[in-house]
Amino acid sequence: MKTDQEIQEDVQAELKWEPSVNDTNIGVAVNDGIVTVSGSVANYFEKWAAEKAVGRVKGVKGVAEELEVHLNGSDTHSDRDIVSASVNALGWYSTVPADQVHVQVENGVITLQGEVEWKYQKDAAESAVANLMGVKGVMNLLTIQKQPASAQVEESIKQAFARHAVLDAKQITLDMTDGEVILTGSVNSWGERQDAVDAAWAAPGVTSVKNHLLVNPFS
Amino acid sequence: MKTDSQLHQDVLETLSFEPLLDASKIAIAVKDGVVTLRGEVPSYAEFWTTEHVTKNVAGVRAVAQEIKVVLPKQHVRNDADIAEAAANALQGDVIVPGGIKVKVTDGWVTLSGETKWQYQRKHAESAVRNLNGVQGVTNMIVIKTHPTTYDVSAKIQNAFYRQAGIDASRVSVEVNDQTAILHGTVGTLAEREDAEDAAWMADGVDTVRNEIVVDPELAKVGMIESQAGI
Repeated sequence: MKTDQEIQEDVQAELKWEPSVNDTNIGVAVNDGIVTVSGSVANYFEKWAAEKAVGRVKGVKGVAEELEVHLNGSDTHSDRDIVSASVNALGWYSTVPADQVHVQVENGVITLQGEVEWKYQKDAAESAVANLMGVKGVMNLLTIQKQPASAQVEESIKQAFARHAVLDAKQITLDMTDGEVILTGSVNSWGERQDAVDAAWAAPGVTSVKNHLLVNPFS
Repeated sequence: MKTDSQLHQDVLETLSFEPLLDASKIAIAVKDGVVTLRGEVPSYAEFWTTEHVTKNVAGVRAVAQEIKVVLPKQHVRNDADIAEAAANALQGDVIVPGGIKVKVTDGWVTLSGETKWQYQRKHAESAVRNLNGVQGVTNMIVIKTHPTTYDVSAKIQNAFYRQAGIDASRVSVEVNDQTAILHGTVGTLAEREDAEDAAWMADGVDTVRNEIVVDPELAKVGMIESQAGI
């Protein structure tokens, strides 16, 4: 079992290793395997990449990402420019139903609102705008349309876990009520935890996924 | 070990489970754990997703992607419009460096130019992959980096040791000039790709040759045991 200090050293090494992240303004604290990263990064992509880099380190049980995006002076764009770039990007993105997505920008933070049919469309809308110049953050408030969730849905998610190359279906318990999925049990890494959530979201009728999976590399 | 016919069934169910896809249009063939996908899909996003989800099915050793994108008439765009949208997407993207060139022929986008890192090269591709009217993307961007003085292979091996998704005892790396060559046998395609991604992060590497083999027998169980030993 790795100590918190060993995890801290590895997380720092991984952030230095990740080329898309400038680690000089990032602080790392670890408590019982839960890693908190704080400080500042230069754009929204870097924030995402830093969290991902931390999450893939062996022994990490959780990530609290508290990084703030501080744009360099020359990188700031007016909210109006960001709105028009966003609308253009959403309109060209093949898997986004653009007329269902409403965009607002305040101080470089984009808010997406509206209703889409599927989670992949919600994610696509976010990807379409997240890396535009001048973006400090994205609040993705798109909701997923309610669909009648049949009794087979729960079973179909379990089968998806069983087919997955990395997940161990035996260690994951799933509860579903009215389109809300609750995952409990354990996985072997922070990355697997995300894989489980993604798999659950693919099922028809799922409107939210509550992830209570614990990361336990020795289970 | 799954039989090929079990694996065929699992891939079919996985494609059917994916909301973006119409699995009835996709033909699956499996031989010794190698999955070949054929058929026609109506967008490049679907083309990409079929391959991506198939790779995550337990027991898959490799995927041969032979699906063709055939856009429905109403989704066809003219090449000049696609080229302009692609140029906008690249220019407006905070990760993609300047100087990437775009050529579009019959909806097929070719990217060329130079980046310093693989993540920028891949990001340029994903910035144009999902645009309306795109039939496919050829990424001719090359990585331009400088030789370094430090021991690159030791740094990559350390990255393998740090990462939860990689069993470092099963993979090794040698670096020749600026090419990293990966060897070993792992349990999943995901692990094989994690190792490749890690190698691409090394300063001074402009090519990665991934010769890691996937043996599904090593999946899950082997990984947990060897982690417990550390």
